[in-house]
Amino acid sequence: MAEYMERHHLVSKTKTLLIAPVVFLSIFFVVPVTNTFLRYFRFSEFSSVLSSQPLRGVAWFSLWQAVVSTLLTLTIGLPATWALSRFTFRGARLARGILVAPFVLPAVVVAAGVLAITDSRGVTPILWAHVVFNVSVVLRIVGPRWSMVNHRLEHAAATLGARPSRTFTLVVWPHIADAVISAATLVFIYCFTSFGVIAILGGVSRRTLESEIFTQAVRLGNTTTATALAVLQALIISLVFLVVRQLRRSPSLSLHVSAPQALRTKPTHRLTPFIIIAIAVAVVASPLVATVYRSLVINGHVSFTAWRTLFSGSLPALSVSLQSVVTTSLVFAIAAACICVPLALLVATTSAPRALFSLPLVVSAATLGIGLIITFNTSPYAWRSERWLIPVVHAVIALPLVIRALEPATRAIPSSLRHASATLGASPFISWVRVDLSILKPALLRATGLSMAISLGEFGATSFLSRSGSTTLPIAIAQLLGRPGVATQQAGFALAALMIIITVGVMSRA
Amino acid sequence: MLKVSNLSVVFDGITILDKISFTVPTGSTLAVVGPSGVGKSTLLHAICGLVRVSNGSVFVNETDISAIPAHKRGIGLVSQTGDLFPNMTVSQNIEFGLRIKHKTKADRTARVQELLEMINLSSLAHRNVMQLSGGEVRRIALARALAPEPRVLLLDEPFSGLDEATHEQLSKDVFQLLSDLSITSIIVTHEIIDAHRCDEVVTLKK
Amino acid sequence: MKYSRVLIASLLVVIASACSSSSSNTSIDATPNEVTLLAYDAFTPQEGIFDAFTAATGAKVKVVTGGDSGVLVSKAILTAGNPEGDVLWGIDNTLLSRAQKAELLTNYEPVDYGDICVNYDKQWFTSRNIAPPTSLEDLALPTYKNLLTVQDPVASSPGLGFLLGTIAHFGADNWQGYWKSLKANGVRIASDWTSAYTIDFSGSSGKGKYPLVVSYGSSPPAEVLYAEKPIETPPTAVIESTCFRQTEYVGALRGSRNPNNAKKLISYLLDISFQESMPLSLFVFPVNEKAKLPVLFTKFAVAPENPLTLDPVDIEKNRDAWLSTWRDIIL
Repeated sequence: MAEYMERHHLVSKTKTLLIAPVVFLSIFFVVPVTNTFLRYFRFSEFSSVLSSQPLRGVAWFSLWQAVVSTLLTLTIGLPATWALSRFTFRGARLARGILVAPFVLPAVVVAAGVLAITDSRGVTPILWAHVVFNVSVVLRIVGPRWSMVNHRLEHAAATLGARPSRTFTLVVWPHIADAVISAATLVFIYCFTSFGVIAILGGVSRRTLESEIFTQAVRLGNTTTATALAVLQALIISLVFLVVRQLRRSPSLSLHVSAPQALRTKPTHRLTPFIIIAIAVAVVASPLVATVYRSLVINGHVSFTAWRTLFSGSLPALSVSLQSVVTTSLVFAIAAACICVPLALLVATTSAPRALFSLPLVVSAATLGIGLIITFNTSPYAWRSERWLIPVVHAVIALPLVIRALEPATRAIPSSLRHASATLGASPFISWVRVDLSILKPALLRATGLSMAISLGEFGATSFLSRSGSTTLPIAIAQLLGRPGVATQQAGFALAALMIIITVGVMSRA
Repeated sequence: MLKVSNLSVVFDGITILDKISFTVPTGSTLAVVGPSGVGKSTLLHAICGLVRVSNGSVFVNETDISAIPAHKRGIGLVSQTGDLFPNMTVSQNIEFGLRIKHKTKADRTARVQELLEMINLSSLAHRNVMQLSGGEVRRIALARALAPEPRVLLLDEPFSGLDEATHEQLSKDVFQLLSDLSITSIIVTHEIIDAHRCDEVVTLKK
Repeated sequence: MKYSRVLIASLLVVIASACSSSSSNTSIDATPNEVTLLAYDAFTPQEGIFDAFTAATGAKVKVVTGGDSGVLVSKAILTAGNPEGDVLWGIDNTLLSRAQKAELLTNYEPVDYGDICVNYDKQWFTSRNIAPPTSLEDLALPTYKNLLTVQDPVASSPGLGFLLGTIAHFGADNWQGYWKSLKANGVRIASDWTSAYTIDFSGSSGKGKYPLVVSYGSSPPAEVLYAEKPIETPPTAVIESTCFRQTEYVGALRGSRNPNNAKKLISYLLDISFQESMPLSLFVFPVNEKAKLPVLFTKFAVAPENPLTLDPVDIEKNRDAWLSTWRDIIL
């Protein structure tokens, strides 16, 4: 009886909770994308795309480079996640900040950093740039879960004779498997739909479906081909989701909520976490360091001119000041977080099927961009030039990731706590506010940081939106780097370096 | 036979254990008593290798095992909270140590059955561990620790948090089991009754 | 289920509005005290340059940017007839035909011009006692092996300009052979201007390995204006015979809601005060012959009398074929 009531209660709660997120996504995502599809999809074009050898090659390249990128990211990211969620040591916070920061950064910054080091374009630089961006995803999604694994279970396994690797396979992995698969899927999708990195590091021969969609739609004006490619891309991603769903284990074990535990370093592992972190940081930080280096060194000598110019407020050749650029970016980021986090929380609290909310991952940014311009162009919703549309789009894009980041925390709240609260006289809503929310606080903070991060670095879908006078950081950096004149470029690198340093600083605290 | 010699554990500058020495003859039970926070659990963790020892050694049957990693020491631990693996059934928990030793399925099943009978819980073989009562959890944790036939068994407050009747029954059963199997064991407890059921008692002072 | 109901409702609203036509009254401006100028992100006019316009007409100029010129034109075409602004700045001769086909503009005029030319690092050549190349043919010579970086014409406007220049110079039948020889001579293909100029090129902040880069005829003065320490002469120079003329147009968007102010703004953009501000803020040459050029430009910017050119209609007709042939040659 109690179980039936609990379930019934949960289900009705589900429907009401989901109204806001569903309406939001419908208006700002489903409708624009469907509009694009309706207007520009031709089945004939689709079949000619499928039969085109070069385009099939593009699809194949998109696939295999995404798989390899994902594997490399996991290879670097999982051990680093282990080290950071199990050990605290001096410098751990900074290391975490470095590993997590690149997610914010616009592709042009990271790619330029990689290019400065490798001095060549091609597959290896692309893979490297992908790892730099995506280690952060692994850390953010697997990290909280891993730190919730009860250490005593590992102790028990050790006393039963299991060496560390078997302990991992038999005892730890079942608890983090879902999170790892979730993270891996996301990394795959980000690498598969990679655009900025491919644009700069791909050279002529390396193209992904996403960059081809953009090229066809924008450079060559073939919107029908672009839409056909977008459909192909969406089909592939949907397939990936379906496959992953089969791999997922049955509903996750309800773990006891434990605070992240600081484990005393064990004798056998004393150096290992440090080495792992050092390697991860070296891989991720070197392009960033290269950018900072570029901002400080001209003609072989150190010069602070670029930084001085930056802090004097004016940006050479641009008509905006540093202050307005930073303010604009921050305002957009905060607005995006205010929209995204509450909606994500609503979704994460229910056990609704994730399909609808994963859609922004499935559909290419270019398609969304086109959809936005052609949809919101007549009153009463002629919103396409409205400034607030930008943070809204950021929120749409951030939603799938933020939901996934909140899930481990919302799932780990045992219903016994709510029962306890109920017996103490609190209504379901009050229980939720006083019990759930206070437990979720750290996760909510992280989620806010994450959605702000996504907003700060977003460049793809919103590049289709016009704005007047609201230049964001990625745009300012791209503009500075896109003009001749040593002082201008140095300012661009300095701004990028500033963004890196601030991000690392903020992420170390988050 | 277990011998602890001048064992010290220092962590972050704080001395938790300071030159502890005692011997436990083979097959006998030792009770470790003392006030809360004196380091009884840490002592057990140090003996089975889960905590780094700053000074001193641990000997099992004359062999110094201080440098051997925890999973190779053959010392079983039953923790205060049982720590059963939530993703496995009762049987799977108990046979864990046997899987590690690559015993055959037949061997494992036989041994699990044997142990379940010893602790009088044969009916729970395929039960999910999240649905067990406190007493059941302790028994199964004990069975799990006993399955790989450890040379030494450590029990950390095995009877705490139980009602008097369950406590009494469990205590009787456990001591009977330890005596039947003649396992060298150390029991951390703050119950005088249980301490007196052991062969020897060691008191830790701050 | 809740999802489908909301979805269907929203779709119906969209379809309903798509069916209703937007009424445009061409004789009266919808917002007489504001006119919107659509431009690309890199459009950075001189501060306060529109004040005089506002004083004269009472209309404020709102500059709305989004993307580069390609994105700009694509967006404009997607929204043709119901544009985001009144005046469009930035269609160049390579995109003009596409814009005309989509009937984007009601009237348009050239507003500025510039050239896409190979720039070279003066210091690099003098320090090695090598004479810099002086023609397109030179670039294929072994003396200049592995020294040239160009941009992918599909993604980059200067890259496209350079390719069109070679087609104009060698002709529709011979340009392929030229590119084969460039490829054999180790030409480096960058994906965009930024990575070519700031990383590959040796003559700017990047100190790369390539002393020859495709850029603009107006890049040398920019190097002076935005130098790290004040300098008298630019460190780079332009190979005149490689220059391909790029003309930019400004026009009133069809269906704009402020056609009168649009016309006035266009006149203003063609007028002397704005035209004279362009060289040092936008790094382009004014079309208005009465406009005076700043000293920096007269001394260092290059705009040859007879640059390479191609008819916009030709460009539009053959561009896709040319690009795909180029791709086949290079890969």
